[in-house]
Amino acid sequence: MFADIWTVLRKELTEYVVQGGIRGKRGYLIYILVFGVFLPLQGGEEVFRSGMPLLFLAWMPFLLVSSIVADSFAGERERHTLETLLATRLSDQAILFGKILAAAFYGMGIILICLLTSIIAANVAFGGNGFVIYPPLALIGALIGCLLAAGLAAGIGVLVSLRASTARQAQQTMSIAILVLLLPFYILPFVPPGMLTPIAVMLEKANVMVVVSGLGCGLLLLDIVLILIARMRFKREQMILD
Amino acid sequence: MSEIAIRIESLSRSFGTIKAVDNLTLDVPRGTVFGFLGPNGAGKTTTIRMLLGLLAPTAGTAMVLGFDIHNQSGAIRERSGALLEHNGLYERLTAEDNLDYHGRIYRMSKGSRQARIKELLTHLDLWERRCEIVKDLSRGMRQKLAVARALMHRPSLIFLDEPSSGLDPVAAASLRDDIASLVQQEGVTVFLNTHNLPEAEKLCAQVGVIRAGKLLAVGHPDTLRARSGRNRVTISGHDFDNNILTLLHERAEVVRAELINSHLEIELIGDSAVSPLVSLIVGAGGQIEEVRKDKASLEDVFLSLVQEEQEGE
Repeated sequence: MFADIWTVLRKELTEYVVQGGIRGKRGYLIYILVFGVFLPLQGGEEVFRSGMPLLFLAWMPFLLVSSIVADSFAGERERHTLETLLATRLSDQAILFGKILAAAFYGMGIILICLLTSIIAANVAFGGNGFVIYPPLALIGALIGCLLAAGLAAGIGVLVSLRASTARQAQQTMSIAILVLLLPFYILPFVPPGMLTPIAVMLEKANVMVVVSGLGCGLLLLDIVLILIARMRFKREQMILD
Repeated sequence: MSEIAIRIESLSRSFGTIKAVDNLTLDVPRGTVFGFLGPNGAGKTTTIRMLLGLLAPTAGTAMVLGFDIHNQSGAIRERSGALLEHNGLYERLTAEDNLDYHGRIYRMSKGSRQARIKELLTHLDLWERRCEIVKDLSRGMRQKLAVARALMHRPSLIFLDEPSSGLDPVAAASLRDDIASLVQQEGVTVFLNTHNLPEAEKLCAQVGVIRAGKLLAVGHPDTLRARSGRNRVTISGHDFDNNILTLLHERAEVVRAELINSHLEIELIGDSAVSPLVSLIVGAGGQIEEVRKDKASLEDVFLSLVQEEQEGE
């Protein structure tokens, strides 16, 4: 089972990265320059040391994973490779998890490269006062958060892609799904301050670790639910007839 | 081990009110090339999909390599290869990467993958092109590569769904030769869907004729030719006139007689003797240079079966 998942994952990553399939190699360079150099350094050393640039990472899994995961099944269907894949000995789980993990690994791989680049860039720019790095706890939290967010984006993407007839259609549906997911953040600035005060007070009193852990658990639960739904919706017959 | 690779019993599949496959029953002997002949939309692809466990039948059952399509489709896919309606190749990957991926799927070791890729691509004259991405290969090359992929893991059964569809005559003939030699070399059972009758003539030891989901006939091409009950005779010469044609039409064994470019084309019932006709033509003043008795082609067989079925309806 794990060998089969790895086989699918490896092929997907080869298509994404080595062959420059979805995004050209210049695209990767732009990502790394923006998220690994420009954004982390723009606030200066103090901001970097505070770990604030890590907040930018929260968006990255969605940007990276959603751009490719929609292609996972819909792209195969569009390019007429899906039926041949389904006619192999691979189990449903191996195909599904291989594709989900490939998308998540792809996102996490670029995030890790950006993080490393940002640390190197920060040390080149502000290295006069010793080794510059993000607060370790924030860094670990950000990595876990990114992994869960990548899982969320991959889960939504695969779910959408399973039934979409083209990669473009899957990407459009995926964009709407993410928009809905992020709706609270868009609405927040328009909520009357009076309504937010009790929440702000509650958050102030709460233990940060508890709040972050709670959010992480919620995200993990959502990831698991999405993957389970995708597993239930993975029906070879339906995928061929769609 | 059973001598039957595929046993299909009363297999049916409907899509809404349309019966794509209707009560299909047939056996495919192990180690043979079985041609499933029929026009587009006859139910050939649906049959392959059911045999691979990709579509569930509405009724009936089938055993493929001894495994039930209802609950052992994984075991069937483990032991079979397929070139389906589309070649299914990853166009952004190289020819070699496509085969390597397939080998990995079937858990072949690195050494056996490399050796097999070399063996197949060399046989198909694609070894020099192995590092090119599939998108850059010609359509004929892609089809050959897809055949190689189907055979990569040395399956005991392969399904080929219209392998030469869309190829020019030269590429189609080349692909047919390659399939014939590979099949002979590998000793696999082949279930070949085709509407290309020369392809079936060249490759198949047994054929089944399907139309509108119903199996019209099954057997060796020669048996089907005999069953069609018609033989064609071409007589070359000169001084053939309408009088001779009229005399021929009066004969009970003559189904059809036509004068085409100074040749007499005569269609006879069953194994009727030709010599009485030769005497008749000579007696009527015709000068005969050559008499050639042709066997009915599969196309004739197919058309006669379709005609029979239409008359029966």
